[in-house]
Amino acid sequence: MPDKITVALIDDDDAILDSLQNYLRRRGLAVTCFRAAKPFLDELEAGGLFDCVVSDVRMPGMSGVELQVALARRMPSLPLIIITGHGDIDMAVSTIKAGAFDFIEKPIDDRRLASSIGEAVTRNRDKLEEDRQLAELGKRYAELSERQRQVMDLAIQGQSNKEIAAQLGISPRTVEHYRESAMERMQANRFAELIQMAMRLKSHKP
Amino acid sequence: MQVRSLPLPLGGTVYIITHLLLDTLSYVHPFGAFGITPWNPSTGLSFLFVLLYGWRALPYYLVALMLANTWGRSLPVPLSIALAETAVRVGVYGFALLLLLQPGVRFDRSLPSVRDLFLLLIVALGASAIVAGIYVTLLTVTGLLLPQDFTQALLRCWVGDMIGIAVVTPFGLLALARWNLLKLDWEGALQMISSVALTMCVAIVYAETDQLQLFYLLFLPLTWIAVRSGIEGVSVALLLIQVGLFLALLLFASRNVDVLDFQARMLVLAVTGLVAGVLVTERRLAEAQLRVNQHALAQVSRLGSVGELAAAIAHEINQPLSAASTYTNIVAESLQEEKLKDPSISEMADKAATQINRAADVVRRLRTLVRMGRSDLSPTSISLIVQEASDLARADIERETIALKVDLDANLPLVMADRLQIEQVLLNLIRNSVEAITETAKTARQISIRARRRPPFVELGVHDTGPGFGPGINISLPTPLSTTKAEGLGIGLSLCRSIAEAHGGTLLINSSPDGASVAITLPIAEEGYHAG
Repeated sequence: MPDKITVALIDDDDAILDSLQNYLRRRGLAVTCFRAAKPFLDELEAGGLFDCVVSDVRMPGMSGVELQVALARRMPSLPLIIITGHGDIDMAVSTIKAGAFDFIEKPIDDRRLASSIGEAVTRNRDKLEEDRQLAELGKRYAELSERQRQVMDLAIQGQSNKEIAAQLGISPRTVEHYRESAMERMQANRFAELIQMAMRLKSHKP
Repeated sequence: MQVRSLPLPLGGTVYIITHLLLDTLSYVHPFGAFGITPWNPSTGLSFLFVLLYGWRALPYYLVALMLANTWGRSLPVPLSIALAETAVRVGVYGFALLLLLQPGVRFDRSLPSVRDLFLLLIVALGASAIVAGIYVTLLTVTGLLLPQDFTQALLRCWVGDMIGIAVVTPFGLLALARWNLLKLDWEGALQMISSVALTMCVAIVYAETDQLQLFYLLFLPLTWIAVRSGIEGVSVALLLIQVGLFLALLLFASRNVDVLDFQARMLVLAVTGLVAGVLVTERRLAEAQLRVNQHALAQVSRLGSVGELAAAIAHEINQPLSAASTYTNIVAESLQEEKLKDPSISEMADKAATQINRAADVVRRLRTLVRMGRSDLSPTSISLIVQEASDLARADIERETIALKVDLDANLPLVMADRLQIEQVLLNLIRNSVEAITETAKTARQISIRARRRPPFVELGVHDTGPGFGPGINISLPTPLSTTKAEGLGIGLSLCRSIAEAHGGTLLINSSPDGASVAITLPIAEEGYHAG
């Protein structure tokens, strides 16, 4: 893990907050406790950064389910784990369907909570990394000149330099030149890498 | 309430014989020679008969009247007039009563309410007025009756029929609906003896002095009876009063008295008594129903509050337990990392964690129990349900020396069901069957649990060799509080029905004197699930 995982823990019961906070800190997580959903959202608004949110359902003020709706609007990528003392299957199904990462009933199995947080954060970080890479690739691709892009698009379709040259009305040598400069700009070491990049871009930008 | 009756041919024969008998006995003090008597109990009997059998009774009514008119007495009335009278009676009374029996009228023949009594009395009043009007007009037009006697004859004919109906019909209907009209205690006996004795006194005084003021004394015992015994007591008393009146007049009257005045007052007495009686009965029935409802509600709310209590306890214990469990796990884990002087401390911390987890499991199970109110459908094996339910019921079944047979189709598919709820249904049905069999003296004592494949359902039911369902339950639609059991609440079957319907199935009831069978249908789980 590159950084310490930061967890927001929301529950109106002090004993639950204290015990879980201690447990998770011992596992090397950075935990911030909130006694209601509202202060947490304020913190988020003020620029607080969290890798994962663990929230009770039945709380005074905003409930866990309402928090889920608010989070889905503001920060859809932030994983939410619901913990509840009133859980039933209907509720579990509906919160998971609405995008919660996990649903854990009290009394809490804290090992399961810890592993669930780890999984949520890993999956989320992987996803963020993937997004970042894609954005970078897209940026590089956008910076190519028109000729470079034409040559690259035809090359990854499997056409030879000669075929490309004939199609674009330029000499095969010039094609070879554009191809090398495109690979350089895209930071691809081998031609196979360039093909992979093109496919990733294609699958995320239909 | 159900009104019992014999099969028609037998009932019809009994009716005709009784009709002729009553007609002959009550043929006293006729007006002129036209068969107009001040008491016509045979009309009341005919009312009763038509109300019991509907339109199929009309031919018997016709035959009874023809026999009475041509045979019972030698009237100077020409046959054509006698036949016309018969036709008018059967036509008008028959039509009026069939109208009353229309389902839309919702007339209950066991007279449980003021509405039912009023319907009967209004139909009787109207129809008898029409019959009297037509018959007396017929006699006048044909010159058999002098015009100046018209009103007198009309009144007699009308009052005679009305009093016959008011006295005989409610008595008959009530007697057939509730066999024990009267509690045979000292008070009931005193009520009847006093009203009959008073009637005879009043009748004798009337016969001797033509004074009718004493008649109003009869309202005293009748009010007493109405208040204490309801319409059932009143109907018996009216019959006795009427019989007492005629006996007194026949036995003790030294002169031939005209009883029309007497009978007109008697009619007022009868209607007043019946209305007062039905008011009391109606109120009693309402009170009884209320008591049953309260009992059932108390039961249901008791169950409900136990559930709520369990939920509250589960929730209250949950939070501290959850925290304690986490703290203990922290302690146990950190002790494992330490080098301790006494290594058993770490072991004990582990044990503490185990015990707390055990308590947590109890709370989780308690919550599952509380959740039972809601259906939690999943593919479930019928044989598993049958196995668990019959294990639970085995003790009850064996105590009553009943044989249990399990008869399941081979290769039953899984059903979409809440296992606990279906087991509850099966247990209820088995318990009902055990109770039904215990009530009979039959030698065949067997309960079979059956499951049949009926795509897209599986039919799961219990069959017994008990006496079948009595008349107290509506087989097509068991509702709460209808029961055939003395102590039962009637919630069992309607609960089974609700559970079946919550599963998308139905409740099926079959009943015969050889036994009852109750089944529910459960939808087969979708393809992809197969019984293992």
